[in-house]
Amino acid sequence: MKRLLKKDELEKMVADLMENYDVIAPVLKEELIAFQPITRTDQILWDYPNSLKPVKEFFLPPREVLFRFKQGKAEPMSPAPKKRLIWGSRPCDARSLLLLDKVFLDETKDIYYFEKRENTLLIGLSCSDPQESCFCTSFGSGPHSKEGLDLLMTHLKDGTFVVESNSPRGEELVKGRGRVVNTKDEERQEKVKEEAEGKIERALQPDSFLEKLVNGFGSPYWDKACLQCISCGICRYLCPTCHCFDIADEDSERVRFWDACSFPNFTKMTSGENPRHTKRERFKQWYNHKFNYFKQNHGVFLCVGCGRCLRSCPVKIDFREVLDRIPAQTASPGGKG
Amino acid sequence: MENIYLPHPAIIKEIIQETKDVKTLTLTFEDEGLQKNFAYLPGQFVEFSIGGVGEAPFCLASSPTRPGYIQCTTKKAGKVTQAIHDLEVGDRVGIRGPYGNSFLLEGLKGKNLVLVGGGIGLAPLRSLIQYVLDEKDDYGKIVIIYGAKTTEDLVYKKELEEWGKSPGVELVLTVDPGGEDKEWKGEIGLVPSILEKVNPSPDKRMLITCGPPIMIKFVLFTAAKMGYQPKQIVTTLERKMKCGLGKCGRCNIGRTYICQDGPVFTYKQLEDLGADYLA
Repeated sequence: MKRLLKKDELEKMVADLMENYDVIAPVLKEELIAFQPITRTDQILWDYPNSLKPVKEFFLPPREVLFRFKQGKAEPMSPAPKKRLIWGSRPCDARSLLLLDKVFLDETKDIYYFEKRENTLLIGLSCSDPQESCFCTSFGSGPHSKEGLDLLMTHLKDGTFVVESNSPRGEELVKGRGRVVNTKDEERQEKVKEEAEGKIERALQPDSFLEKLVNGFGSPYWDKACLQCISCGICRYLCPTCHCFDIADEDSERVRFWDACSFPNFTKMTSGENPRHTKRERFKQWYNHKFNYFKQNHGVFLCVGCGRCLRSCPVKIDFREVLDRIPAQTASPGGKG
Repeated sequence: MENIYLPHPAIIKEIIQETKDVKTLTLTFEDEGLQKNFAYLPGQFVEFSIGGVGEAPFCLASSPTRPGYIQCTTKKAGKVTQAIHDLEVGDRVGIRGPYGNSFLLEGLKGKNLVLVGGGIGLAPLRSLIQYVLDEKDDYGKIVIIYGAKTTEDLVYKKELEEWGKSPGVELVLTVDPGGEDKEWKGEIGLVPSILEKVNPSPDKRMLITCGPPIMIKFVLFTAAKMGYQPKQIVTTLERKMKCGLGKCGRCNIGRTYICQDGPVFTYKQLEDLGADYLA
């Protein structure tokens, strides 16, 4: 069901929801766009490119206490947060959660992630102004994709929004607010959508990445491709789909932290052995995990095309170029890896 | 819903000092029901916790054919193993698992076996040795080749004697050149060369090896030279692992997560995994 709401009607809706939910929304924080819990509706940004950090931190926090130890016994932290609502998430970030679900909600469910997912409603905001670094349409998403969202809001650029429900929970939220859309509203929505999609100029060919990665696994290309990388890990941290973590104890707490495959310690064992002992191997791992292994194991690429890795790389590595330049060659031994 | 990261309280019942820096710990779960139902197979591993210090993966060195307890053998090397070595009988630790696959691959039953171990790499093989000794009718002749740097570094010394006396078992011990002492009656030489010298025929036989990576590498080459087919050679891999459940992302070789699809692989499987292992 699609409804049309004015901005002040949406603000009223948020204010009402704040009674029952912790509302997390994009705000301006020290000149950066960040998702954080809000207390007033006038904090919400209604027009923004994308947040610096993805919303994954609300499901897989950078630092999360799993247990407290008492007399050597582990007491689980109560993982259930208050009911939450993320307001204004971009469709690319919503899709990333569906990919993370494949890791954390498989047959061995991660209760910490599960409870946060269950307790959180996702209200999306269509992207009207994709950037040069965006390529969501190459990875099964789009600036107006509803996938993974409870509601999707699309700004018609005159202070009114088409609000489309995509789940029973979403439908419940918007029921009785604003008015039902008419044909004209829908035509305008379609126009905004086409305009947005038109701004994404570059279409990638992910299937060709898979083939190149498999066949070029042992290629000397990687010796040079990795040189520019300073192994800072920012692409991994800011990636909405990167989920590798470490578990360590701090005093009497067991804590889970974000980790990154670019760091030598990620695979280095106490014995000193390190299966990925060169920067070349660590650099390659990231590309292979996203565009080779995950695709083979789960049938989808581990990327949503948000472009954060390109925008934030301090040495300007463009992963599209890295993949494009892998020399096409016939199968190398062991390339199945 | 079960909390997959929750370590289950276990009590240390016995500590065996194997060498100056290797100890074997005998543990029982505090929860009797869990102790009774804790099912595992040789080759599987657990995550061993000391609250406030950390968690590390260790293979189970005991065999499910000897129920009532589990055992882990650890070498003092890092933060967690240091803390394990400071533990005393009666202390409480945490265990979760078991994880991974096992040595009891299809095709092991009914075969002759040669088990090739180096240093503390004998720990997972010990689980298998106990298992096959307890289920002897299911297996053929057994050759055990075990080496360490020096005589001081050999683990399970008492048990080695017992294995050597078991019918149908040939035990060959070796130490690296210079590692022998005056009483030493075993071989002197690196494990792969002793394997070649003993030369157990690959006929109806599986070779299972565990030890330092460099030893495993040369055992694989030596065995291939001796006529063993890649599918007759089995090893177990060590990787850094945090979750044991294929989520934390670090133990993969290619698309394969060692904590779930391993740690036990045939050489054939390792060849198929490809360049990431052999590079």
